[in-house]
Amino acid sequence: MKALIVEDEPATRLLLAESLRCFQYDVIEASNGQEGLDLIRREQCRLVVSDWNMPGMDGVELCRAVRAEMLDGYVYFLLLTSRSETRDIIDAFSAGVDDYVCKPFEPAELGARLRTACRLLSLETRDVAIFAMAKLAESRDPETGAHLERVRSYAKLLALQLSQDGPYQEEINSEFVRLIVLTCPLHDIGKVSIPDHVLLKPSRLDDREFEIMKSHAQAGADTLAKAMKQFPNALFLRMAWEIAGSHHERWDGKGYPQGLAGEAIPLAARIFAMADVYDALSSRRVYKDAFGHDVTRGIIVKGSGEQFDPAVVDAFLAVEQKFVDVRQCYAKEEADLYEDADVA
Amino acid sequence: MSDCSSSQAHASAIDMDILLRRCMQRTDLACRVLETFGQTAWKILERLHESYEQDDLSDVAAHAHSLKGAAATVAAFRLRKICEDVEHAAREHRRANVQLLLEPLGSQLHACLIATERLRKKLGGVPHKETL
Repeated sequence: MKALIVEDEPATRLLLAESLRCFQYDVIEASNGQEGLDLIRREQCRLVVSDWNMPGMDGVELCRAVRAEMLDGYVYFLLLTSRSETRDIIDAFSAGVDDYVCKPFEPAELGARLRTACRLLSLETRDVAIFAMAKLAESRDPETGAHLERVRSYAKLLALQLSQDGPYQEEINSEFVRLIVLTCPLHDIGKVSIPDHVLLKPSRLDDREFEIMKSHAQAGADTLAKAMKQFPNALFLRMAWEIAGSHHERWDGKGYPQGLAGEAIPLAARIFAMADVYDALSSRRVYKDAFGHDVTRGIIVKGSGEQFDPAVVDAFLAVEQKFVDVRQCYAKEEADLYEDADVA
Repeated sequence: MSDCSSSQAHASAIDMDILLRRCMQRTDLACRVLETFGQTAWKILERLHESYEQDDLSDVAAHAHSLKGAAATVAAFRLRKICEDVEHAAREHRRANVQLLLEPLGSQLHACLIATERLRKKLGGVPHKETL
């Protein structure tokens, strides 16, 4: 694993680097916080061992900057410090530091703490498991192609935009963005409960069938609610539950399954609803061709304040070209899918 | 100070057992750490003196902190203690106390650097020209 050392004092940096190499880490080094931040961005480093007191950006400031970044994976941050006051330690943890080691450090202790760091980082394989589970649910639906990959990209674009502009800036931080990307693929997990004659019907659903199809939202929420009872502190389960249960709700209260309106609908579900509808409209279905971006855009703008949260629509309009780019990125996969279907 | 007592002071300026433990018993690494310390410690002390002359006690504290970290790394505990005292005095704007500590700070660093060279020779390293 790649490990970044941020330490301004050369003798200590040398000893740190050699200790970590001895523990089989692939070591990169920085002599100040800003240089460290640049390396974290460029090298996608997930393990940081940083001094606290450094000229310019210090270790705690670096940690705050890392936590504010929209990075793809979690960065484990271990602080080296000669400070031992309770107030200092609380400040460091409040900034997002995961662990600390007192200076001068003992390599054996540092190695043990880094093994803990690696164990925690390995828990992120959970993310892969979640996506695999979502893909399994999706596999029953032959029409969706790269739907999960596209909607998670759309949801990320919207969440990032809303974190920078609009009324939800305080609510949406880097952790919210990470969680929505992680959990939104589970939005249709309730479809496993839909019988084949409805889910796989190669034409429009009638009213009775549509009622059955609509039950997937509540079914998905119920399944995730059971998991939440087992793990009440798992934030990713809560957001997955919100999205699965509320992504068919409408801003005007005319959606399902609860008929929630406005901000009573969880924010993650309001964001995801728009991502999902954009993808449905711009994708081919057995009963319709794919709409182009302009037509899709028109339908979404018309739905602002009715189907969609106006702030989310504003965010969409600010990044719409990136939606087009995502669509094009997955276009070939979509074309191959329908080529196979046409041949069949 | 007699030659004998001076030699003892130099010898005890760095705790070799602790340094070797930190270096995972690797004498080559201990030599490199001592060499790096020898190359940088005087420069930090020079900057500390400059900051003191410019009455910038905040910078004095920062340099004292940096030298304290380096001293701790090479197990130079007396030097570390003096650095800590300088850092505290500077942070509390006790300029007169800082002044009183500058002389023992220089002396102890000198003792450390002599010890550094002796230890490096003992461990098989080559003395660094800047510290001779």
